[in-house]
Amino acid sequence: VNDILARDATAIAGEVRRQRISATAVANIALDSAMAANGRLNCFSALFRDTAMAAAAEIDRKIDQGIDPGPLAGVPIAVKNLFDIAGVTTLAGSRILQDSPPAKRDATVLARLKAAGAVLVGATQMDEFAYGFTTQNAHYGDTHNPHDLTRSAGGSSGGSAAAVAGQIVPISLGSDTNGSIRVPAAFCGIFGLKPTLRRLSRGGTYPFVHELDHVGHFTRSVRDLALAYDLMQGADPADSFCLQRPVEPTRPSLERPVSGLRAGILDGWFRDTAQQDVLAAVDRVANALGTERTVTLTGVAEARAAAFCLTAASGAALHLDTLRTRPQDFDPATRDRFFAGALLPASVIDRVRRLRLSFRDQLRTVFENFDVLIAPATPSTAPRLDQTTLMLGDREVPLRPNVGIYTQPISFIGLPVVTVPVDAPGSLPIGIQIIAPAWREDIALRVAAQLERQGVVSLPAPKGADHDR
Amino acid sequence: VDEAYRDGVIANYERLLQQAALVMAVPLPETSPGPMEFEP
Repeated sequence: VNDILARDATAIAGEVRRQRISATAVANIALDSAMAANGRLNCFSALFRDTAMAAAAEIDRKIDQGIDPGPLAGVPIAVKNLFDIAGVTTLAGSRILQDSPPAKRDATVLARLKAAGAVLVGATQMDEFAYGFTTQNAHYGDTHNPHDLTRSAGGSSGGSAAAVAGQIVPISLGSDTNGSIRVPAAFCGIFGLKPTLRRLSRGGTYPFVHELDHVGHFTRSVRDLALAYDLMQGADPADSFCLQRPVEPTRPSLERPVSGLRAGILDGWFRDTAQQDVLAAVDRVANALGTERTVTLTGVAEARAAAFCLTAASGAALHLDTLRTRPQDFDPATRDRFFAGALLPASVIDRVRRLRLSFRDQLRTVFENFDVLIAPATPSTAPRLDQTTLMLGDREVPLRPNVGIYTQPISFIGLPVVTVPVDAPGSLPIGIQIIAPAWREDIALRVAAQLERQGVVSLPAPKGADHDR
Repeated sequence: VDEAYRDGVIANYERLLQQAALVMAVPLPETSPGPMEFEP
């Protein structure tokens, strides 16, 4: 029973459905683990013992009565605290929203996971308003990496990633505007999925950049990544940005190898500045996929710059009123970037949108000859929490604006990405992006599953989250 | 902008303008802006 949280969601649900352990017992263990680990990791901003235990008891009641409790029966989950939770104030990592009324209903994707039997145990820490890559928050403190407590868990969904890597929950939800799922997945050594832009509903989530926001999730196995993704898919009247596409299940085909797989290695921008251990991890994945073919994109620096500008300007526009009236209540790092974004001329944003179309079209052409592209998620392993600069090749640059240089160009055009963990002995975790054409999450997931079966990607054991279980 | 925030804002604005300069230097056809409701 004590090892139950080391298992993935599929296995936990199986045990609960067979009544080898009750959902109530699992929820209790998860909540105790969360309380014990949170002093070290600071990954949870709130725990919901009463509602979690009640939900778990309801799962057990259904099973007793022969009612199907769903494929996530009794699986404890957590959500980044920008997802609405009925009865709870949505903070989005801020102090400014502390006095807002509680949410009336759950965010759409959370409601869908709960309907499948998942039990919400907590909300997780994040960078203020999702503007950051390190989950260092002036109001709520730093979130620590379970593999090395002196290091960042990545951001902005760092609390969600640490909760999964720390074996507290097997599934957590996050959001990704410029890399906020892929960066923490990489630093924490777990799987992350950022689906195609406009695939999953953002209904009931606090926005950051309307044109770039994605929701997605973290897991410790590829089968869990596919399972939760399949459960969250589908159009939503509460979110007109989410396109009316049919649900396209990925789980049934997950074990089927991609025949004649055409994988390309992104070079140039995506290799020139990465550290050696990161490049070695890319090469391991490339070897496993049997490819040496490289792909050189043009205009990547400009695409990344465009995402950077759009983020600053659009994020600032969203918060303009409170920037004027309550600047002292922002995290200083966020506030200064928003003020700068508010000063950006509209002509730049006009150009950003046109550049976005041309970069998207370039990738569409590339994908006529490739099924997936691979690239590092980050230039380095997790930085120390007191680190302020980063080496990009031989250049020393400010850390926080540059952690996402390999993720920003990809989310800028909304392509689906699975981040997979490569466990390098003696090294901190390294994450690799498996990038697929738009709407082909199924291919990225099948490639990730293939790498998992080959043993090329696997989860390193966390060292910093020892808790009494 | 409050004087107390001036240095931080200027540092960020300078960084932002470097990125904006990259964007503005890209030669693109003179067409209308891309749609707000971008499709991947």
